[in-house]
Amino acid sequence: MKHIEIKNLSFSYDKKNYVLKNLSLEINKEGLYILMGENGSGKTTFLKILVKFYENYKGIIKINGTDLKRFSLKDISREIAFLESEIPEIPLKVEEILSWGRFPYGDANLKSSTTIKNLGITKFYGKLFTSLSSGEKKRILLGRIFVQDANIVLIDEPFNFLDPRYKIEIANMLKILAKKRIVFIATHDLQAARFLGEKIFLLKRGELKGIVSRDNLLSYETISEIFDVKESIKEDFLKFYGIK
Amino acid sequence: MGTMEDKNKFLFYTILLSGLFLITGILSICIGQVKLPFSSVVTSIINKENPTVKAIVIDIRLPRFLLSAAVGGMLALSGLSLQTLFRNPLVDPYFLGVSSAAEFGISIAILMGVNFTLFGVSFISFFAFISALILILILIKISSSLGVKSSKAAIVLVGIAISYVFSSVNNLIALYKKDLFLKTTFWSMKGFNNASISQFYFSLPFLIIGFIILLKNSKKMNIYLSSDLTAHSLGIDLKKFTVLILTVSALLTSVSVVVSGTIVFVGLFIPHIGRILVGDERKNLTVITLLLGLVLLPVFDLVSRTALPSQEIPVNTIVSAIGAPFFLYLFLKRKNETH
Repeated sequence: MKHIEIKNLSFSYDKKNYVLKNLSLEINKEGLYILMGENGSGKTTFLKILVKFYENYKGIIKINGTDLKRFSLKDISREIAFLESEIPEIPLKVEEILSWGRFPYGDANLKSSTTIKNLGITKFYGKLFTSLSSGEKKRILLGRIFVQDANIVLIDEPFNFLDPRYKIEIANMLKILAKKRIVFIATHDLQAARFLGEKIFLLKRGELKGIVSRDNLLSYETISEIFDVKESIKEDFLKFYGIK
Repeated sequence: MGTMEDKNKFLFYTILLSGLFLITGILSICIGQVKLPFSSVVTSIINKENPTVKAIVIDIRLPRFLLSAAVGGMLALSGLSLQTLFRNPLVDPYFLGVSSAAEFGISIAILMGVNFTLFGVSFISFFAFISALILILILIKISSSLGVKSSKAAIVLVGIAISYVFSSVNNLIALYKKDLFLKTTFWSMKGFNNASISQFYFSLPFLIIGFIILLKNSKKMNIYLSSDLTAHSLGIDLKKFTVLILTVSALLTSVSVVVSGTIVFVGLFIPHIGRILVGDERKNLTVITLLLGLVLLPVFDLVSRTALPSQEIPVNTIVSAIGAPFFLYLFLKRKNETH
């Protein structure tokens, strides 16, 4: 079962300023979904709430029909895999990091995983994670998500720090991942969102402003809905992204 | 997870260090003011012939070797757990302020005229231990009441702040009781001079249980090395994990301080040597760090009691004098290799 249902979600760190305001959405089919918004719009906070990193939220979150609050941390790590935007400096070997995907299940049986072989990252076995390039590191971290094999995958800004070649490689890995799973990606990268997203949720200052398809993403109306584009740079902005 | 190469390396160093441990033990028993050939040690113990040899070996040198090994192991493991918790290899277990807390307990005990022993361990030590435990409880209370993110910096800050309070109270007491200052200072520098087998028996369960807890949590420690968020999303309860590792580290340091006074630097550089030998993977590193502690501190102690013909040098001085340059050498060598 793959189902996320969110009703009237609100959240604040200090009980005064709400980072997320009355947010509702539902996803019940595998595929690639994008949460699009500028920095500080509440994207990361939203993803963190879904893995119980913050718990004092208002509203209802149901994962596969069950209230999120009823899941233990261990349970949720079998239902939802999470990849943060930062690439941490981990002083360990590649296969150790990949094996973490089995930790929620209490085993370390990496060898049986055929998905890893298909991803072409076995060539990094025996290497220290810290010796790899940013793009290679991201592939390994994403490989761990494949090993974890949860039905729902949350990914925060997967394209930060990546050059164009690796952006495409990561995007293709995400497409494979989404064949059988709900893959929910928070990003401000318009090109990546248009390349990947089947459904794009628009978030601005904690409020859901609408849902668009990839063909409608790059319109001035949509863009100005989510980004504060000043009048002085409006023309350059449109030119940069090829918006008419 | 590890490659064949990692496993072989680990096996090699485990066997090597175990061998060195035995050799250090034999040397510790045979070398000293009175030199005893190993064969005469063996025959006199088996045949119960020479009571002097037996007294030197069983009552003095063996306890001293065992205790210094146990303390080496405890400080090394304590350093490793704290370095893991802070994701920083330059953390020493004494950063938590445990030693000044223990000294405070000793001051109180001496002030109260405590002068008896329990299970062969001086009751003054129990005051030191309880005082250190109170500090640990305060640290844990504060670290678990704060948010996950701010807690790690807070632990060190609180540890340092409390240790200043303890030492200022110590100094105040010393103003009125001049001889007390001398006594606590002497106590904190005692090293393994008066090592007894009961002190070793007191330390051993802490060492074994601490080691087992760290070994059982080695996978979590590996994952924790990445980031709070990744560890959390893989099902690790950060609060529980932090409290567990902090408790293990603080207890091991407290017990070390209680039985042997303050020995700085061991907890800092032994895990570092382990890391150079077998890498950062916590399961292998925990075992190798323990073995290094078991071997190196008795070696330092052996040097401390044999370097000068007539007098012992405090082991803390030897550790700093040998350990610091060695650490610098390894650090610089490694720097050059990676660049």
